[in-house]
Amino acid sequence: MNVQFKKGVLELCVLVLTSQKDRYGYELVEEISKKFEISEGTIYPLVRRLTKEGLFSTYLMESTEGPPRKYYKITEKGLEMKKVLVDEWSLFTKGVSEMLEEE
Amino acid sequence: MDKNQFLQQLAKQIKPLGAREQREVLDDYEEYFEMGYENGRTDEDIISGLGNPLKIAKEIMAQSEITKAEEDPSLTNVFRAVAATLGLGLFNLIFVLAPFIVLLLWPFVMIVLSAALLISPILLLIQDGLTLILLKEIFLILGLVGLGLLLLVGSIRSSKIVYKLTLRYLTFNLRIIRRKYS
Repeated sequence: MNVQFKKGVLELCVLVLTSQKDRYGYELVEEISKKFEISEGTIYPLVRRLTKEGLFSTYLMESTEGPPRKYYKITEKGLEMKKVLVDEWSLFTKGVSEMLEEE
Repeated sequence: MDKNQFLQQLAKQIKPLGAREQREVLDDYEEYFEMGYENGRTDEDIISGLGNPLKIAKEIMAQSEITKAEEDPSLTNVFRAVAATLGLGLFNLIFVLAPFIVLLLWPFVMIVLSAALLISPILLLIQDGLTLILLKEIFLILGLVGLGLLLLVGSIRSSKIVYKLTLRYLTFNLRIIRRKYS
């Protein structure tokens, strides 16, 4: 898939996934990778930035296997941002598919 | 390169962040390695997925400098943010430099202009001496001084706006770079 396509929507994907339930970093990479290919390096800096901007809060939780994991929990502000991005995305995809139909 | 070398390189480059934040970033990446091992991956495989630690560090540093400058937009902080962004590659030198020059020149030009207007009556006095002309032109003089005061206030206000715009522009620039290279 085209790289430029994905970059812009990663933020949206991460917000949607964390709004379903709290997630840890690697899980986010895995979930998104199931749907399309991403470069792993992108997710951590992205989630870090979103946390700094107050869209996520974090907490540590022990796991049955391996070291404790850092979970990301979406905040009120994050949910608002998600709504804005989802609306933008629907508008965008609607426009593109209309253009494709006219072709 | 193995995990330790990766983390060491990263740690060294992000040292200016301070011990706490440095630890946070390193913990994130360490966790990432651990999760990779659980999935049966090798150091090499994980690192090729993550990318060059020097590049990761540069982005983290630039991001932190910009946040700092946003919280406290002093000239030093803005300057450091610009330097950090420039460190991301020559590519955006022009794009960063142009607004920064405007940022530096704008308050200067405005202050020189308003100072000229404020001292204009004194200049007139030196030129013509204390004559009737001065009385005749009193309204013009008052007008000029008033305009000078307005400009002075305006320059302070607009400098703040230029500051904000430059910072917003820098952040925007950084986002583009992240999308382009990450």
